[in-house]
Amino acid sequence: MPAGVGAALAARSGAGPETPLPYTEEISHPALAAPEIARGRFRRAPDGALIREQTAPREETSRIGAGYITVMRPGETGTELLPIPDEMAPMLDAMRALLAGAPEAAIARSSAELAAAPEGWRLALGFAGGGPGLTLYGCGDRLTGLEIAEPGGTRRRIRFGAP
Amino acid sequence: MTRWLAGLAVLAALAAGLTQIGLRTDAGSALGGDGPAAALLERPEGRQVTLALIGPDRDARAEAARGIAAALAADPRIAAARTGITPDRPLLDWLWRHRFRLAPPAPEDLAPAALAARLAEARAALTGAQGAVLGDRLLRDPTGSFARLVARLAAAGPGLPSHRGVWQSRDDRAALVFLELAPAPFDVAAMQALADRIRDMAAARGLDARLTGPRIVTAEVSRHVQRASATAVAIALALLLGWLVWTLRSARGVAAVFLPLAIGVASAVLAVAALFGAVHVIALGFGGALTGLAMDYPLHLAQHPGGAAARARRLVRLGAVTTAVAFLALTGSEIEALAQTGVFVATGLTVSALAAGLLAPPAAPRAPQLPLPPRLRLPGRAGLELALIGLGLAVLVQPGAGRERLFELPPETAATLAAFRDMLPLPSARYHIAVAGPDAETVLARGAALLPVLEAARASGDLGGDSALARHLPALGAQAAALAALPEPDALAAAAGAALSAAGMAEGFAGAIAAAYAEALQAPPVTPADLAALPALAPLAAGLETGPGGARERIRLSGPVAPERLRAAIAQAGIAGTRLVDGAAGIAAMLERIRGAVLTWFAVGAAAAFGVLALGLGRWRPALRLARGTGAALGLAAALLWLVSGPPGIFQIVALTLVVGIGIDYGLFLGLARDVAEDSAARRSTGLCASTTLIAFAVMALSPVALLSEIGLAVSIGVGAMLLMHATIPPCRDARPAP
Repeated sequence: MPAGVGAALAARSGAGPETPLPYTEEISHPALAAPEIARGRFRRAPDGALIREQTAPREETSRIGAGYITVMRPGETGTELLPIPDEMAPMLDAMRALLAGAPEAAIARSSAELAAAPEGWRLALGFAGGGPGLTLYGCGDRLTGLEIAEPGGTRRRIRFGAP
Repeated sequence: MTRWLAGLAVLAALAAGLTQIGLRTDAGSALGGDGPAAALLERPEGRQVTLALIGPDRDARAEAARGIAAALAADPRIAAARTGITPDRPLLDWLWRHRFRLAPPAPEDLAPAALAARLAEARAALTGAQGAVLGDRLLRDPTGSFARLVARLAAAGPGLPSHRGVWQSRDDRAALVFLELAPAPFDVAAMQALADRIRDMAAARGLDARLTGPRIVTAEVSRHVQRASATAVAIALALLLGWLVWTLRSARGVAAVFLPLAIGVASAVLAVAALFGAVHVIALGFGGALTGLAMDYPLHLAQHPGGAAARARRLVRLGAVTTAVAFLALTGSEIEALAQTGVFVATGLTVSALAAGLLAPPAAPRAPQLPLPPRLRLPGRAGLELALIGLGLAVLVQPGAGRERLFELPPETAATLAAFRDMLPLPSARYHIAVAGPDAETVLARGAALLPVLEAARASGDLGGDSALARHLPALGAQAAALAALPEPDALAAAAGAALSAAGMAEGFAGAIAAAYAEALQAPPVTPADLAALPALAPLAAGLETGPGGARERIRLSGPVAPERLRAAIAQAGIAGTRLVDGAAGIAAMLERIRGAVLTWFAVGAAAAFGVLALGLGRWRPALRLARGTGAALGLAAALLWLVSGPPGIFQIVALTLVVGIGIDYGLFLGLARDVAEDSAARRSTGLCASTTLIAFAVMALSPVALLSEIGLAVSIGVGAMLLMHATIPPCRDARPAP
């Protein structure tokens, strides 16, 4: 991994309870005439789980742990359990590691391909098992976002930083 | 001294043999292998165990539940351990493929407006976490079948909240793990060992473990009875020892009382093991208690020293053989534990009587003369005795009298069950709905016809929930009919295109929707075996059984059940082969049947015992007189017992048979005394015997366990009645005991 990218990942990852990472998510799918937009922030739980607090279009908190995503919505008692499909697990594990400040671990179990992008660079991570791929976008030593390509055709483009 | 050493050597040899004996605790032997209670313990629902891991921290208990479930899943005694519904990818793929078979859309679901609404919902779901897992499929199936199927699967669980993938109790005190035990015969000791292991695992994680389930409760009841029995035995032994030391005032005399009994009990255990392969814990406990009668033999002999000894030995042997014959009749009963009890008591008493005679206990001239009722010459005594016999028969043979408290819950078990009722909706232990038919297809169709009845009962509060398989799996005919009613893919494509347009989405996606639709139409039929092959869905089909005689589904009911209204609604629906089953009624009927068998075989045994008595005495008249007095005392005891504690149950009837044995001994000594000296010795020995028996069984009568208490009460009342009848009867001077 080029030193600049490694520094970027190490510098911009590491979302913690004290340093939530705002994001804007753009979701596209063949069924959609226009992308859906979601906003919120990532933070990291003390036990290493990734917390995704979505504020729009509806409030929802997801806890992405090892094997399961638990979902809590305001006004609802209890939590909804969503299993993480096997093919999505490597990508989510990589994402958790990345946002936990451990980019080496995120990249270790993937095939990484670095390329130039219009606004800087992109690092495409491929995982075994035909699951979604994860592409990281950056500019210089700054990680600007990531994109998840799901097998059904859904693409999620996440941009870090306040909208 | 030589005889004593020989006796001790025999006891040592027998004790060495005891180390090779296996002990059985299975319920089938105790209740009858084909009985409904034993059968329930062997069925899948009888093997369900619910584990609550109680702790204040949700995260900690959820992690502990996962860890314990994983460890238990690797235990060969556990068939499955579930902490939550986990629709993994293979399951979601299977549900996707078979969605129209399992949850076909209704015609109104296919209208463009309905499709558009579904598409809008799916689009909204894309922005949430659910969209990452299900979103694409929700968009490709705007008929809603897949969404309904996933929701139905979630609702098929116990309806509990979950935390980090682990079910939580309704009162938020515990994480829950649902276990299914491996299909092995129920064994109390094995169940207790597994429960203890689970509690240790929880304790190691700082949590309190509570367990419930049919096998758990049965094992806890058994352990409670065993503990109470051990306590009663310890107290009774201490009191007996003190009483005998005080009355006999001789260490050798006290040893002479216990040594024949020990030899008899050890012989009985070996005899039962030789005949049955292993000794059932009920035979050991119950037979051991009844064999305590053998303590009377050396006491009788000790009060008849010198020239009276030979006659006393003959009477003791005759009494023991007579009682043994009566108990041997129990081998004809269909309950192995009772058959073992019969052999146990017969062997124990006979060997003890022989051992007591051979050991020749020392005379106890300073033993106190206990007060007994005086001899009474009552006119019409024979009539009174016959009336009492008739009264006893009426009490014992009255139909529906089998009131057993075999499953009295220990206080801690009752408290655990109460706690579980706050945690989750437990299935009814008493009621279920049985649906039977010639094959699974028919049973499923009948189950589907029952669903409106169940829905109405749930809506009216007559039923909390049910486990009907038809909620999840339509019969094959219904599956085919539903698929045949669906429109062609082209027609759906047109409707989907209009719906996409109406929802402001990409109209071109209609082709993808139609392709997924066409693929689902080709799915093969789904059978109960298909569900059983999927770990997450197998519990849904657990209530269905098929065999050579047809198929049968046992629908579990939970929450409040209004049996009369539910039974009436089922009857009104007129669905063939479908009925509400009251499990308690089935168990009551089984116990009544066993009770009848025990009574019948004891009647046979009583007739044989009378024959032995007549042969032993050499004349039928004193034998008849003794039998009549004993029968009258038995009738009096049965009537008194009925007044005090209600109709005698199975174990009380067996206990009353011991009372008959006691009565025969009393009658032989008191009724056949030929002169004042023999009468005085008989009254002294009988009083002493009665006092030891009353000490032992009065302690049992005070036990907190109803079963033990009722047995103790039966023997105590019986001993009193026997003393009353035999002590007041004038001696029969013309009798002579046969050698």
